[in-house]
Amino acid sequence: MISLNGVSKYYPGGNQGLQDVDLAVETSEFTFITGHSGAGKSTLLRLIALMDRATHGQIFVGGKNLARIPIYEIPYYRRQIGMVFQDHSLLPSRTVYDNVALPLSVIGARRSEIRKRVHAALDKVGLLDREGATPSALSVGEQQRVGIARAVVNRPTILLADEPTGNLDPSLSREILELFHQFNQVGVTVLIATHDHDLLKTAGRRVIELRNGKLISDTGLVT
Amino acid sequence: MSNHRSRPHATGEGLRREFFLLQHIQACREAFQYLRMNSVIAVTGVAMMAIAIALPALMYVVVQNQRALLKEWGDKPSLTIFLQQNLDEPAAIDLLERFATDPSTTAIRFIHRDDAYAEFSQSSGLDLHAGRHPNPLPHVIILTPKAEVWVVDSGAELKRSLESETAVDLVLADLTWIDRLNAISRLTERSVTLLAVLLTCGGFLIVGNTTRALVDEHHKEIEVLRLVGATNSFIRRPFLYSGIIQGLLAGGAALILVQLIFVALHVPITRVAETYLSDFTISSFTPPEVAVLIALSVALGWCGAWIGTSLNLKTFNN
Repeated sequence: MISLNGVSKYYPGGNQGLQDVDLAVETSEFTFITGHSGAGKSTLLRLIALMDRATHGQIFVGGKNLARIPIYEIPYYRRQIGMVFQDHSLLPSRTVYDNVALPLSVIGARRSEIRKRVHAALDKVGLLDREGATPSALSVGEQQRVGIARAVVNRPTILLADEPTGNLDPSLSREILELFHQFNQVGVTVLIATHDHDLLKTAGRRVIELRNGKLISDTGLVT
Repeated sequence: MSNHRSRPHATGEGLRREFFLLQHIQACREAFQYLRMNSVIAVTGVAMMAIAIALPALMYVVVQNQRALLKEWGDKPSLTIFLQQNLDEPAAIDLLERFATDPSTTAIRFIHRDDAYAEFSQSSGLDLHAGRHPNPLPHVIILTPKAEVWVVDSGAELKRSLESETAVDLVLADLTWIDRLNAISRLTERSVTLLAVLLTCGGFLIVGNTTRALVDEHHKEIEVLRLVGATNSFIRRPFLYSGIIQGLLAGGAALILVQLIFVALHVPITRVAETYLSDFTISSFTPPEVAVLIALSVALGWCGAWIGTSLNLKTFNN
């Protein structure tokens, strides 16, 4: 599903994001990527989401070489990927409903279809009764759940989450993790970047550790 | 991976039309929202654009009026031929008939010396008969030649030919001022064209700058849209609509500005015209000209917004 072959990423100024990383993630796998701050976790997710391009090496997603995807094809590629961020990246001027509906509006889904899917996604994250609220009226945990609903509303095949529990207390973190588990159970490939060691211990899933841009350990596929 | 470009249940021409329409309605709604959220930037931009459009529009109408005036004054220039003071009426009529049969003549009029005298007495209030003075005025022929006569040498050759007639005392054809006015008119038109080009560039910059400010204000939103798979054209669309709305408002405002200026100038211009015994009145835009002005303003807004958005979108990574 996702494979990285000798991938390196250098940023302007000589900063190294990743260094010669080889990695393979199977379809429907649930994987954690961990490491200290600046280890390259976010860089790895950004490369998979094509928010950045690798300096060296090749990345294949669903058999497609990302280096060969032209700029104008990137939006279509991204529609297969759901992304969750630590800061939620919600639009403050829009309601919960509108925020979640965004990926569907972008692809031109019919209004009835949008309504059905948004309600299903909000129901899944337990926020159906808050669809008319703006993000500022929600708690941090609720905002993160809206972010997750937006990430899954388009039924992506891959879900990338960058520190999704970074601002949450342990009980909320477990709730959010449970949501990711549920999506994984229906076949979504999940990659979560986190440095929350408690979360890793309780999850019992594959963990890939990065340090200074290098892959230093991989627990392998956990079934 | 499945087909990236597919949309849920998007099949058939009807659905495509619905999709297209919905996208545009949504973009239009967002454009209004953007402008409302950034009302100060938007109002300032529209006002500046309106002035940039109003100036060349005003000058265009001034040029059009000037053309109409020149046409009225210069369309049928004529020569005033004063005959010898001692020339009797039959000889004057002979000359008149000879001039009238000339192929270059389009119109001719004879003013009898007695008629001229009577008109002069009436207009001046002097009764020269009372002082037993003989009529000092000669017979006069007003000759209107064909337009081609003026094209070659402003009628100089014809004037010389008429003056060579022994029965003719004096020929007046003071058309230099019309030539000068024509030259000034051409200069004005050229200036208006150059000014219009400059101000159009200014209009582009104004809309581009307003759009840039709007894009900056919605930087975060654009980032999110890109992450959820929005294409550049989807992101650009509301900004293009905001440009169109600004163009529309600026065009309307420019029309109102020009009309207000005309209202302010109407009375003084009419007074000037009256001193020249002319019933000339200043005229404003015709309905087709209004449509063209609005269409150009909208196009200007759209182009400015397109350039402004495109330049800004390039600053985003991937």
